[in-house]
Amino acid sequence: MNKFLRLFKFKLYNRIGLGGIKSAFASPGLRIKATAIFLSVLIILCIFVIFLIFTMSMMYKSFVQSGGKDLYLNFIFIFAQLIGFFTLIISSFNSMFNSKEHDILSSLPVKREHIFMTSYVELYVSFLVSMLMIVLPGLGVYQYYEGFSLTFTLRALPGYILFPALPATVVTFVMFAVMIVAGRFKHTELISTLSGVALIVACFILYLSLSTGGSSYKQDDLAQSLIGNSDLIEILSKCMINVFAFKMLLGSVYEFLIGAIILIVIFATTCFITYFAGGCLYEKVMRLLSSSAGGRWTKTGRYRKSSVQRALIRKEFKLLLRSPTYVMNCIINVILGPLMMLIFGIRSYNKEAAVGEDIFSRITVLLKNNMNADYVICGLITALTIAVTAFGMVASTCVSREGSNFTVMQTIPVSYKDQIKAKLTSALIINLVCVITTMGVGGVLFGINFLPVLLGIIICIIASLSFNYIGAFIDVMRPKIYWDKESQAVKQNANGMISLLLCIVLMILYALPFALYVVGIIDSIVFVVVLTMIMEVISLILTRMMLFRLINNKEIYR
Amino acid sequence: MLELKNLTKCYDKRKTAAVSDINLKVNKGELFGFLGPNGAGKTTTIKMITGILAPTAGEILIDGISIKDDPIKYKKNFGYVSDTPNLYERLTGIEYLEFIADVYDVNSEARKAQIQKYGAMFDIYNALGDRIKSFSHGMRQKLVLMGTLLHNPKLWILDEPMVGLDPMSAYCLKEEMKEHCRQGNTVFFSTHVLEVAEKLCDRIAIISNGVIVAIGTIDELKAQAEDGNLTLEDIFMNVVRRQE
Repeated sequence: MNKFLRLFKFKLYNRIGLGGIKSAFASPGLRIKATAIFLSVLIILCIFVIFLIFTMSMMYKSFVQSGGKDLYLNFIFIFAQLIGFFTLIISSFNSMFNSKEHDILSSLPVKREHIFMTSYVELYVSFLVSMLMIVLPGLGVYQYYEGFSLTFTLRALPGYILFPALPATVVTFVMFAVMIVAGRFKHTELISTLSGVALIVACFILYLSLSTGGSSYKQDDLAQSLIGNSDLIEILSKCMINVFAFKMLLGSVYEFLIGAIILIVIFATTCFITYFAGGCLYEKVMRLLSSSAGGRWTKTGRYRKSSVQRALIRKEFKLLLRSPTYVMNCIINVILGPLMMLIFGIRSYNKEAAVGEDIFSRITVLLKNNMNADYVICGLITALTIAVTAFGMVASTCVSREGSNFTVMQTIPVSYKDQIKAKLTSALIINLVCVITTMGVGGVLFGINFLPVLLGIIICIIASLSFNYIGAFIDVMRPKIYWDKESQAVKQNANGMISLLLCIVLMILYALPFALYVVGIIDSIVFVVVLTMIMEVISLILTRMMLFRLINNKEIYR
Repeated sequence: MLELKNLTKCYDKRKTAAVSDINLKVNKGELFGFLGPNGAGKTTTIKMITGILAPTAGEILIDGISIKDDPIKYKKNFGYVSDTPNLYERLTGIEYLEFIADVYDVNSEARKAQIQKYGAMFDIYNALGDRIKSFSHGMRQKLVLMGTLLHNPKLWILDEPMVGLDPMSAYCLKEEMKEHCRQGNTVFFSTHVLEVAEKLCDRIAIISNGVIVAIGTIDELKAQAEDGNLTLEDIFMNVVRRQE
């Protein structure tokens, strides 16, 4: 057990970078930078938590209105479960199936079960953290309205710790199955990436099915729409035994005892199965993956000359699309954007007879006398699309992703500026796909005219260009090039977070004229569009200037 | 071909220079060995020559072009094999070579000929369709070597090139280094294997504590040591110990 704990501590230091964080705060030169990064992360977290509290508060009131506090609790736990699934699927590629780390650790005198269990505990902890992000504000809101109770708070504690056991085990074994199947094919990584994306999309669809009503902004309408979802929430809460048990913990003493017993039994059973069956399977999967890595990918060379820029862009795309970690973290928004629009759109069609239950169709009704209702709906879709593009991390990790190959960037006869331009071009192409598909799907499903959609696309593209420049600026300024695993270049890279924070600020700025139009302060939609575009162009010019000035300073020889 | 003028490198917050006031001239067609103990400043010097590090002071010229004046033209003149074979693991061998060929503007016929020639020489041609991820250290080293030779560089810079190579490939590499010089190009390489340096090099420089402590042909170094029976190893030990 001692060895297991030591191994876990080592991995924790390695993965989260606790050692690096400690030394950064201890070093006088790095303390200010570390504090700035820490504060940025804290601000993003606060924004997220405030948003969650606001949403949860609205959900609580609506659930009470539609007749069920229990339904609210069920909803929180199911929501946390889905978010946790989402996190686990993304994390498992790196936590579990990292062959480099496995090769090092398996050569040490450590039991294979222990090696596997450290990865499992890592997944467990990541589920716990993402779950707490939902459950804590959710239960906080519940207690705010129901009155604070220490007993309630204390009863929830074992639930927090034991709740992740079942989903963590399920995801682990599902990912084993995915890897075993994928490992039998030539394109292992591609198949495992697609399977991961499919699983994430499934979680996403399930979540949207439960909470589309949550996008309503009027309390009464929200309550009405939640009644429609209540059956599904009820069924799911009964199927998900950990959700059922967690909810029981918060009931009477008798219910608490039953809930606690169920959770402990689940925990013990899953740990037992994971330890013995997981340890054995893990070894097999890793062996299968290492043998499949040698499979022939390309038959022969093209031996066809192409321009330097095209070669650089092609390389960027190959590196991005062949890594499950990069696909999951950097370009998943390309899939989620149009998907989100598709689900909103389909729901809008389904409920047309009921005079629109979702936010877009309701606004159409509210603005039926307004000539520019098309523009208002398109404005909302545009805002959503801009937000989706801001989450892409292609530009904000462009140099970090090079890692040890940064020396290749420095020695090839291509200027740093041209190399960054190639990286920005690949980010722009990905954003273009995201914008056009999201706006296109939105435009078609909501029956918006071509002109507002086109304007929306232009606004999104200019905004995404600025976001790319901001992301690249942050990453060129301090790239994280020393890493062992790809996830350290994207997920565990503060550059993505800082860039996102700045993009949120810009997004708020861009949305300001539209918000003023919706509340009636500005009358003309033309003025809104022009003002937004002017702001975007100004920020585009400024961010571009800043980035290229920085690149010139960074170039060793100018 | 390669000229270092008063080249100095001081890392931040360190009082002592990693490389101090180096002056060196490597002639065209020369096979030049750069020797020194660990931490002597070999890799720092090579990193400055290749543009990875900026010198604190001094100037570097390849074929008369200063890295400060025209870095792109300067970089087109050399091929660099680093001490660790850094490669894009998710590309296949052939994709990596095609990428390098595009970057160095190698035409279709030349790249095909070079890839076939060096692929056969290093016995890696059949593996070029595989992902680099699956390559062993030696295979990666061979791929880097191939990549640097694709554009037939005027100056071939190699940092510890023999590490990880099997005896056959090491032999092929040594032969290729000689051949490269015979074609009128220059080879500048660092190594810890003194026997290799003694057999291969036209001239040798020994660096210790950031300073060049000996330079010349083997005969010149023996003459400097005033003992014609000394091996390169003896000379190396003497000059390094004297410097310490």
